Amino acid sequence: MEKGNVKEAMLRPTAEVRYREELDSLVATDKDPRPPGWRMSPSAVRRFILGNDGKVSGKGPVIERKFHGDVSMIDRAIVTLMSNRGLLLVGEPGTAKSMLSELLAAAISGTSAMTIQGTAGTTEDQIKYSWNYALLLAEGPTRQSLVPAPLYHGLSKGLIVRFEEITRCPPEIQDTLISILSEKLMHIPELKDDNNMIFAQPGFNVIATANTRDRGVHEMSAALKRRFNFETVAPIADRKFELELVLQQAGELLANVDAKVDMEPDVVEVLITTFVDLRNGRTEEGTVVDKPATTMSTAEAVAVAFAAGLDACYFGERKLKGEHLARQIVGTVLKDSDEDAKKVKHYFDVVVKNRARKSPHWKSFYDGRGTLGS
Amino acid sequence: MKLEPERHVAELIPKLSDDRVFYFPVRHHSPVCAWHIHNWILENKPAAVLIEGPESITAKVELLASEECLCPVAVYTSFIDRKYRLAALFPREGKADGEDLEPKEERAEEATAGKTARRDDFMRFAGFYPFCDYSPEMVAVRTGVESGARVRFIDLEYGEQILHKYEESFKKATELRDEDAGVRVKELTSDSHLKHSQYINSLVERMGCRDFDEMWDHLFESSINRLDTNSFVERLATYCALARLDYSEEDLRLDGTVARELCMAANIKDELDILEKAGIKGKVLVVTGGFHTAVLPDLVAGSVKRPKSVKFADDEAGTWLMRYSYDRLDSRTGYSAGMPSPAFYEKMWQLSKGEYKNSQLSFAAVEELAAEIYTEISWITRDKKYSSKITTPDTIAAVEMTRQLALLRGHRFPLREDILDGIRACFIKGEIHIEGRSVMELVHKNLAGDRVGKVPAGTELPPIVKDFLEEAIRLKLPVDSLSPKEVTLDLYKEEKHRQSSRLLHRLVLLSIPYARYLSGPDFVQGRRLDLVRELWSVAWSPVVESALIEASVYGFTVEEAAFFRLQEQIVELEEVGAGRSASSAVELLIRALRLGLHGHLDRLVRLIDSHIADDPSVGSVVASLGQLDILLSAREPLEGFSLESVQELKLAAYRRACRLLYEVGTLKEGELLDWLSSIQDLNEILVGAGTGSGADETEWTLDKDLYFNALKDIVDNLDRQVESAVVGAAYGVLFRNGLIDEETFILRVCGYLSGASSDPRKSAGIIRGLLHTASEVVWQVETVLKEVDSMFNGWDEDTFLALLPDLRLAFTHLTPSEVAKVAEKVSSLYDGKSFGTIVNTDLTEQDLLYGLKLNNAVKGLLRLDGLSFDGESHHDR
Repeated sequence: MEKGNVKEAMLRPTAEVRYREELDSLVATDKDPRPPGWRMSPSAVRRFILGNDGKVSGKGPVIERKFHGDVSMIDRAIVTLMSNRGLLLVGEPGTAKSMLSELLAAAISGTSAMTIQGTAGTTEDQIKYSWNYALLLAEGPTRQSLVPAPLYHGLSKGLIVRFEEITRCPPEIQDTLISILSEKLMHIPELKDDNNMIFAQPGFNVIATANTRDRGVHEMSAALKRRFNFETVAPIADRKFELELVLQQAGELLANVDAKVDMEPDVVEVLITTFVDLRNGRTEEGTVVDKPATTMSTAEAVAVAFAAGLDACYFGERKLKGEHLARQIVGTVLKDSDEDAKKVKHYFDVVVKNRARKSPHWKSFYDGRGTLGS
Repeated sequence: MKLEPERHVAELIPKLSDDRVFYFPVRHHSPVCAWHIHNWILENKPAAVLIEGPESITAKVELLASEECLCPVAVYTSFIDRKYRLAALFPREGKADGEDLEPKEERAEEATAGKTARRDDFMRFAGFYPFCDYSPEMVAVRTGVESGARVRFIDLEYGEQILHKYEESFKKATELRDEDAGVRVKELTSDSHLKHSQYINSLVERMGCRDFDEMWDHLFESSINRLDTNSFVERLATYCALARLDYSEEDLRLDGTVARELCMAANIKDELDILEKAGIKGKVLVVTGGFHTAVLPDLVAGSVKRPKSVKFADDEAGTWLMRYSYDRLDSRTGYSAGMPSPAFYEKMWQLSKGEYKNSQLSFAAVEELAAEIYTEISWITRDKKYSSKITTPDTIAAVEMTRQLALLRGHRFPLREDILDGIRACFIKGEIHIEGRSVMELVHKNLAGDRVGKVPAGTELPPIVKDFLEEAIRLKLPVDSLSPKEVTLDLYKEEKHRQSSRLLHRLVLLSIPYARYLSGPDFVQGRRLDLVRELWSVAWSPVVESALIEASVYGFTVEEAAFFRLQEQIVELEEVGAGRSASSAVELLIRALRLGLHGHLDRLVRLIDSHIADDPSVGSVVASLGQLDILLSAREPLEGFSLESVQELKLAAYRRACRLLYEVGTLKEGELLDWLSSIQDLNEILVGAGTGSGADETEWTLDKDLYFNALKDIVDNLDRQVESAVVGAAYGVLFRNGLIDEETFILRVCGYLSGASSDPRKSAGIIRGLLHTASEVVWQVETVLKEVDSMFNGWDEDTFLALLPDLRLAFTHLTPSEVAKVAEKVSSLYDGKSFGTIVNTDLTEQDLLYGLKLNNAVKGLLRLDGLSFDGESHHDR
């Protein structure tokens, strides 16, 4: 809390702001060769993301580890960004794909702000450039009347451009990237012949993210796929680590709103176990269960724990119980999917019911299933 | 001997080499170790080369070094405890060491039972030492012989190793871990100590490597032409010595390591004495796993004696040289030990010797190798079978990726993981576990290779031939007559016949032309299950022997080879991936039981489990549930009843089936009959299983609430467009089981039948479903019958004719006597006039009399056996 107040007035500081000290120190001490247009060497980028293991060289700060997962994937991602292909991070929602893309952009280009948010309504204007119509009418199409969008900036300044949720855009919008990624230049037909090309400066590349769940929305064209290297970001595999992370993050969120709740790790473990079981489609004991279509990510677990904490704080005895978690799972996770409700109900019938016989936390969890039906 | 790690290492290193001995630590199947050994021998011309491995392999040195011996080959060594040596090791009564003897005896029996269930009284153990061109041991043999050194193997005999291990465990009376239950054959070059060391594991994590293999490549394989041999040995010995600190002297004594090391040290000392007496100058090179190297110098320096040697009879122990194959050597498909990707490392080995395309091991050369691998894979994917084609630009990108990764990771040349990462990044367009699956599979296959080795002519026949002959003679199957002989096997009564049947089935699986299956029950297809005997035609011929030699590459015994072939089928089924059906996997399980491979089912069970979980069709899941039920109830021939995992599978299938019942909204045309039968079958399985709920639940009880809740969901959620026949079937089951009372039942069902606006087709559907699961309602619950009747009356001719096919389907489920009963009831609704005889048969009077006579005879027999014959109640249902 206090830390947040000292920082500039931003609800959520960008990666380059949050880690300014680390980035500056890495740039200052970096002795390895840097690819053209990069602020630091590939190995320094790697250190920034994976941390320096508490080892401090010289006066620099401890570089904290920011990504917990497959290390070799980070190597591949960095190398891809040096190559002439874009990087496409795929995976389940809530697996920190966007965070990873933000960190990579902040480290390589010094800014993670060149971001295009892919939505069903994203237009070409928002990706490449648009016009200041007052100037356009007054001066005609000139560089002055042109309003650059992130891709324009990225190309002309040699920066990493982030394209979030690319598969949420219609294919024809996605495909604007094809020529830019292969030719490394942008054509502006409105401008005069000798001035109508923007050539990519060294350092330019694209990091796109795509949810595996979104593939039904818009499939990517094969032509565009060819211009990307795909990397799968997997959910956290270590149950214990996930528990710690959820306890810590939910605790912070609750502290932010001054809600004082007693959260026992054993109770939250019920939640984590449920999430891991449903995510894997298999319980610890080996029983196979149906995976809900909705995401069972760590971020969702934090949301459930937070909401359950609030429930316990304001409607309970300021002590988190299994029933609070069960109630919140319905609203937070299941949203309004009928299909998922059936799957989770089945999970309660088959798995939770058995565990409830042995553990009071699971029993409370089972008893709280209420709205899932009997 | 607890020293600080640094001092421990500092003291060890100088001892590794003096003017008489050079201790060379190796990791089995490591090209870089082989390379250094090769160079060291050529440079130093040692007088003797001593290698870790049972002493009896020394007799095979000539064969191993022969030019005709083409790798991969393996030395197979076995121990059959025909003299009950292990039993003799158990502490006997009167040996008062203050401990309770009872449980020890019990445990010993258990252990024995675990090993002997197979065929006779003897416990059997086998181990093998695979050799490929780049195995340090192989290179030590070849280069050693070439340079004129005496080459000896210095470890305890395998049988002795087993005896020592068990003796120590019995002494401690610690729990006997039966690590290799089922798979008795162990690969003995497995680095298991290194792989399980905490030190090494935390090192793997610290270095950001995925596993031990990657770290090994990173630290050692990549050092190949950078470190000189001494520095390499120092580095490897340091790691091994540190890894060893994780193990207590006690641990190592218990697992028999100490005894082995004493033997090796004694042999080294012995060799030194021999050389001295003979006045031969020159060093002794000692090649052992790095884990042992750490202690050997001290042992040799002290006064060491070989553990008492055991004289084994010829039929107790043996050592054979065998052909081997790369796909068995590869740790992914074969045993979970050894080095991955043998074909790839072979190429690396050739590169390091400058024998691969005349190029030296350099960054560029490995990059070229990577490019070759990529191109080959991309070519394979252009085949029609693969949906994602890998293009030339992908290949170029992958080569670039590999180069940059190797540079980023500070490798001297791209390592295996760098090459794999190139594929992961550039070849896979989508999620690695989904879209990437088939490509990665292909890559691993490619890196593993499929080479099969060859042994020199005149090598003793492989053990599989001996194993087969021994088994056949024991089971009294002909092994001398060339003319075919018919063999009848009584599967239920005779244990030996069951064993014969399994042996013959295994031979068929291995395509060995010894036996031909003529007839018998087919448990896989569920046909002719009434048969109790199998009929085979068997004939021995020289072709059988040569086929066995061919098959020897799959295993050392018929059982093992059959298991390997089955494993291949499992892998095939695993590769099918999505849209798979549970019942095909269960079929494979039944086949495995038919082959008597009860000890090897883990992987199969996991596969079935995942198939059940993925199977989208309720029909197929219920079918597999039924198969599992048969399997559990089929007695002797399959012996599946004792398998806990099958119970677990049955539970999983049941749960999945109940879960799928909720998907009734997705029912497609053509699946209706499946659904009706599934609902009916589930009911019958539950009745058969004798379910319970609440306190009397055992671990395997099927929770019937799951099923009934699903059915309630079907009948209650009317907003879904559900086939009315399924609703009818659900009502039938619920009514039969007393889960809805008669009043509600009548109200609901009649609601469907009488609804004036409702679609007549829907009404016909309800009747069809109802009759499928609970046909008795039409004559037991009069209201329903009346309602049906008045419904028919309400239809005009055209409607009736249109629905006639549906109605026919509905009523086909009734037996002729039931039809008669219904007809009678219907007629009583009107004027009570009978319809006359509606059951027509073309039986003659004689047929009838004969039937009656038969009936009486059976009744009499049943009565004699004390069994009641309740004809009446059967008749009434």
